[in-house]
Amino acid sequence: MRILLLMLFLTFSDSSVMALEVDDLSVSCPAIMEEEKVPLNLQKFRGKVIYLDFWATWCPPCMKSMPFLNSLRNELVEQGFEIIAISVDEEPEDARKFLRQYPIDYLIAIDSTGQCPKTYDVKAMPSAYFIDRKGVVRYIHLGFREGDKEEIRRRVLELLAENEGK
Amino acid sequence: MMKILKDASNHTLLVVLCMTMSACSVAPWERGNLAKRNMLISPNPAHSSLRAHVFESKEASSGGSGGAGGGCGCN
Amino acid sequence: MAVTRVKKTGKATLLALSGAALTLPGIDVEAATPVAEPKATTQYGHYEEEGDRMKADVYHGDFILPLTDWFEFTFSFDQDTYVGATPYFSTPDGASDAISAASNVDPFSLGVSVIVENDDVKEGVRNDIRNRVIPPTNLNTETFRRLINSTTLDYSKPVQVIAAHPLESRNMPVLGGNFYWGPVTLGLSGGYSLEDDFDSTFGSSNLSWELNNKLTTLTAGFSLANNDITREAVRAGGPHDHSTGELEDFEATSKYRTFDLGFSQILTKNTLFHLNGSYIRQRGYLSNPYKLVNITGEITPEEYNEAAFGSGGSGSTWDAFTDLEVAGFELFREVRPEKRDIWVIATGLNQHIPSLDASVQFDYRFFMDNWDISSHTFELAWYQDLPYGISVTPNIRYYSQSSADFFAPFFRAPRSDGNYSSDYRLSDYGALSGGISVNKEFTKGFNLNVGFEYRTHKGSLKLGGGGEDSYADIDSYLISAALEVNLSSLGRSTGHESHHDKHAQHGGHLPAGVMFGHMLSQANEFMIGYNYSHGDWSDGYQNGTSENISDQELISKACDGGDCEFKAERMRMDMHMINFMYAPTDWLNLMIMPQFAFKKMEMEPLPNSIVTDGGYHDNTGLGDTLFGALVKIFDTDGHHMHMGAIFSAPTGRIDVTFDGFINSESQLQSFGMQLGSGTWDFKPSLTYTGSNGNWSWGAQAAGIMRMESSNKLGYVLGDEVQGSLWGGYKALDWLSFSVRNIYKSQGKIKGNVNRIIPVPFGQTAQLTTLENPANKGGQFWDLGIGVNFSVPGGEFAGHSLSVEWLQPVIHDVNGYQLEQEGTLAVHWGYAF
Repeated sequence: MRILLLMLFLTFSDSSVMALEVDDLSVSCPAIMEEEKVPLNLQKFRGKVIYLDFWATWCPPCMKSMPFLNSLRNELVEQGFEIIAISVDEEPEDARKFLRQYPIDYLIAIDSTGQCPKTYDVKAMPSAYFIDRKGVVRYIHLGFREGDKEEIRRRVLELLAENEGK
Repeated sequence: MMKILKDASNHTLLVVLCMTMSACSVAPWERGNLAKRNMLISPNPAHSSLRAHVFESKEASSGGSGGAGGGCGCN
Repeated sequence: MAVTRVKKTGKATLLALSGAALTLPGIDVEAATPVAEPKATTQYGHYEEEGDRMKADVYHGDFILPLTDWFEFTFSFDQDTYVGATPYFSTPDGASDAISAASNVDPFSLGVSVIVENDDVKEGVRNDIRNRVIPPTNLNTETFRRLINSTTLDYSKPVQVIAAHPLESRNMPVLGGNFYWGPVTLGLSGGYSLEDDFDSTFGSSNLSWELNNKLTTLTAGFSLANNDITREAVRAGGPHDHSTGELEDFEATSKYRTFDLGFSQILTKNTLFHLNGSYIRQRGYLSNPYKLVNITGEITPEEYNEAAFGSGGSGSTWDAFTDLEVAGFELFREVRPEKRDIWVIATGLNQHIPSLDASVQFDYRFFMDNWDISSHTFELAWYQDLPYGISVTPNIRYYSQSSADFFAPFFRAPRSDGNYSSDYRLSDYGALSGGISVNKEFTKGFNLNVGFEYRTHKGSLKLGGGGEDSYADIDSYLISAALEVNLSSLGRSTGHESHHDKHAQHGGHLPAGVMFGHMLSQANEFMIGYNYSHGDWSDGYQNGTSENISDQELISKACDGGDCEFKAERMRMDMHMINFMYAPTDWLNLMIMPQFAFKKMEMEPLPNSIVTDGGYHDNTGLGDTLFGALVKIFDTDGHHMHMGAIFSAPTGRIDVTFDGFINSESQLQSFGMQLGSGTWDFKPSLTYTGSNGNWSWGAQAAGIMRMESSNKLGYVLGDEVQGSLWGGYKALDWLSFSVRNIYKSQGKIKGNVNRIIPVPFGQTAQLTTLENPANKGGQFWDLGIGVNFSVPGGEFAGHSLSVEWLQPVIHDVNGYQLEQEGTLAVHWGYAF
């Protein structure tokens, strides 16, 4: 009986009350930056265009997107573009093992607790949040297919072209 | 052993309830274990087909294998 | 398992329909799940039953290629080659002995000649079910009555009569495509399953729909198969065997339709549940035209007497007494209903256990049909992950079925519905199997799976008891090895230029017909390659360099001291080779290369022959397996030289016969039609390649040295020496051309086969000119023209495809040989 009541409660409770949507200000969440070993702090990146990517080693389309994202980032980093990729692998060692074999130039963060994707209400794997120079989430891209490359590039360039604001 | 039997009866309940409620949802980022090769309905498709082929030649029954679902659920 | 001892003279062959063809994989479709990366799989399986029963080799290859974001192309090819013995019919114990004692005549003299002793099928087994029934003339109504009603028969102990089965192959190509639109996937596929007496054309479609945030998947599928069943009497004894009568040619068709629905649900992040149901509708000829049943009372003693001495003479009078096809004394062809409706429901659960790093899969299937058969299948598998990418999976399977209502080991009275079968696969029994499979995932997207499973089929294992007597019990095992390769370079690099990008940009390319000419230059590199070659010999005979040899000359000179009955009109050979290469260091490559051969020969009678019809033979199967090492001698800017120490293991059959039976009493096919050399051979080679800008060149000296003085049949193929010189030009980034000059010297065959079987007519043991060892070998000069396509960079970097045509320029052959038209060589390689 108690289980049934609990289930009814959970069904009607909105679990995504904290979720982020377009035009919301981006928030930090408890992911640890891999290189500096400090928590993710998006405030630091105000003024830059950020591509916040949620990925995992068990997600083949995520793997497929990486070479493209790496070269896009290297091409546009001078203009103020940065990619922060949060690994949601439950075993952080899986992500680290992968990165040792296939080094990435952009920033990697690890969150094995599931809190970051929950905060951002990640709906698919991979998910990318395009954050503009003011720190506002402007676009959310779900999944990754070959045909998405052009659109991603276009949107990043659009956001980079906007004036810096504080 | 007992735990497995207990899980089996719990699973039946879950099957019915999970189809309808969002409560026992598995989030997209929690599918790591389901994406493992060993959790696929057919972890080794060539091997499964070979076995099915042998059994169907030597028995009167056929079918029942295969299916889609599970996995990483990626886009 | 007890078997009866039955003797017989006379020769013929039995073409037994393997049950393998009766259910087709095209029907049993797996709903497609999206594949992000191109993948190829190759698998070898070997199935064997205890004693001298069935042995089968199963070869499989397939690939999945995503072509756009929403479309994926699939192709698969399977080949089964089987040989051995299968149950033919069963009788009460003592049936043959009783009849022999009563009448001094072989009981099944009308059609059976099986020699079986102590559960072993001896060599020299033949069955001629093609003979028309000719009852022995010393019997009369009374004797027939006594034979039928013999009191020495033990009806409680059925006994199986086993018949030998010639070597046969089944080929199945399947083509397909998967379309993805958001949560919906549509899979379409179609193909053929082809064997001598059963051809099937099938197609299937299935739809899958992901809902509920991809936690639930619904599937629906439909498939169709149209089958053509034949029984060819003529081919059974070979083109030369006209001494036996012929059964009527038999042609029938059947149609299968399958409808399935499936559902799967993710319950927790460690649990997956699935359920599916199918309805299969089979209509048409569903029996096995080679299996017999023993029925008492279908034909009365008076009717036997009438058939033997009545006015109609032998054979034509059976129709008056029975609707069934008579195959022997109290023996009739089995008859299964023309309609079969099948219902299947299957369910399973996959549970991951994180604390143990393991998963367990449980599956259950219930099957039932309108033939009164129902079965339960339970399977449990434990997938244990271990370090170093290894996974070990023990599994256990229990199967129990109840018999078809028209099944019985023998029938003591006719059935009113006219349906009869003694096929033990339709009986009441249980089967228990246990196996283990090991999976190793190599970091480069290479997955190797090796499995072994042992199965025991026993009447006593039936769930709830009541199973068939132990006469049909049999054990078998299955071993398999499969390799899965990820064909995309994306799994391996993340934008940093990978070494195989550079590979493809090397100045030169190797002509497709050059073997062992390419080495991997970096340690830890893998290469998988596929080679195909097609050779054609037709357009008349030549002797030395003289062409257009007349038939008269062939008759008088080409056959060893006597006459030949036939000449080969055309020969065709297709070889498929899969090459696996690994570089442990940058100067050493290790490789293994299994080969598969398809050979076909068409024969025509020579003018002096008493035979009037031609015919053809074909053989398919595993050839000799090559393995060895390539060692780099030097590699400087633009110049490279390496040597190869390759060995050939005699895994290819050399005992293929004209009538298909693998034993010492059958006439062997010619040397060129066998699948291997029968000896361990050494194949040394020295290769030099050079390049400068867009130009490249190379040379190779190679040979074949037979390491034994004779193979198990008493002969050894000649040694070979070959020299090759080529030049190439790279026209575009991805396209290059080559021209090649090849000289080959091939020695004669030494010795001859130690098995000479006199043919039923004619004076000689030779059938064709090809069996004379003097007609092998010679000196050959060919010119090769080739083209190569390679993928310089991007997702498919590392792939290359080469094609080369070898045109004979001057051939100086030993003895009399068919003229060679030319050879086509194709090579596809992928280095990573």
